[in-house]
Amino acid sequence: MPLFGWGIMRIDGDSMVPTLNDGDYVVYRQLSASQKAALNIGDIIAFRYADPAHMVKRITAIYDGWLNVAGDSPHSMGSQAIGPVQLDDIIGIARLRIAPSGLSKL
Amino acid sequence: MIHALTKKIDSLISFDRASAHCDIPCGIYDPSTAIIAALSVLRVMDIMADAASSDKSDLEKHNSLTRGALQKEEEAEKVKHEIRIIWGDYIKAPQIEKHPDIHDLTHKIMLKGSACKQGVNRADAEELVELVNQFAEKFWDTKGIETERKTSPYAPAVPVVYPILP
Repeated sequence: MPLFGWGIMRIDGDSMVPTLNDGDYVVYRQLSASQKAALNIGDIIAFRYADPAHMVKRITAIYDGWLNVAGDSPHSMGSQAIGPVQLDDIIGIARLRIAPSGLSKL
Repeated sequence: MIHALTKKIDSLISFDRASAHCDIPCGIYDPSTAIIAALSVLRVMDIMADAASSDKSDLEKHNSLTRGALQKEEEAEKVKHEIRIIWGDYIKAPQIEKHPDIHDLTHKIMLKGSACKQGVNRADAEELVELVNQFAEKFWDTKGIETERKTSPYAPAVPVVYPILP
């Protein structure tokens, strides 16, 4: 439940290893429509997938209202398996990682 | 420290979960779909052979054979797809260490699946079932689950691998 446009999610899985590990938390910022349109390749986003499930992946391509995404792990499947992500389904951009080793910027 | 604190808060108010799984967020992998598809390839070849030798009209024969060829193509592709998913998404270093021949076996299934698409040689389909059986045995072994081979309780009635679940 975001508060003042910011929220926290717990990472469940290892497709974003080594950037994010299973059990880490990410602090994300909700985005307006114009902010979503200004996302860049390389940004890590949280998005709705098979609602109500959420996923976290890195943007690998951007084209006309859609994004391709993939995990950082070599075992991650990404958009060739889950399909492109629509801008409307983006929840926010990951900004901070909270890991057992401490806090770090993403 | 901050992680422990966040975790504590999480246990109280439960933050949303963001799935970072390697495939769709279900984690369900099971070779049974591939086994059934391989059995279907074999069964369709038998049906096609029956249709070819029947005394039906040419039109009826052509109809049956066309349907069979289409179905065979689809089921053989399903075998290849299902095996590729397990091999590509589930099989990782620990599983490869346990079964270093898994790549070779997967490749053999791809080739045999294609052979079954191209032709109507029953031996190819039998071998496809056998290769998928071997894949299933290795898959369940990586989960520490024993298997047994039982004759499928329907045509083509050949031995297939079933997990022995507790």
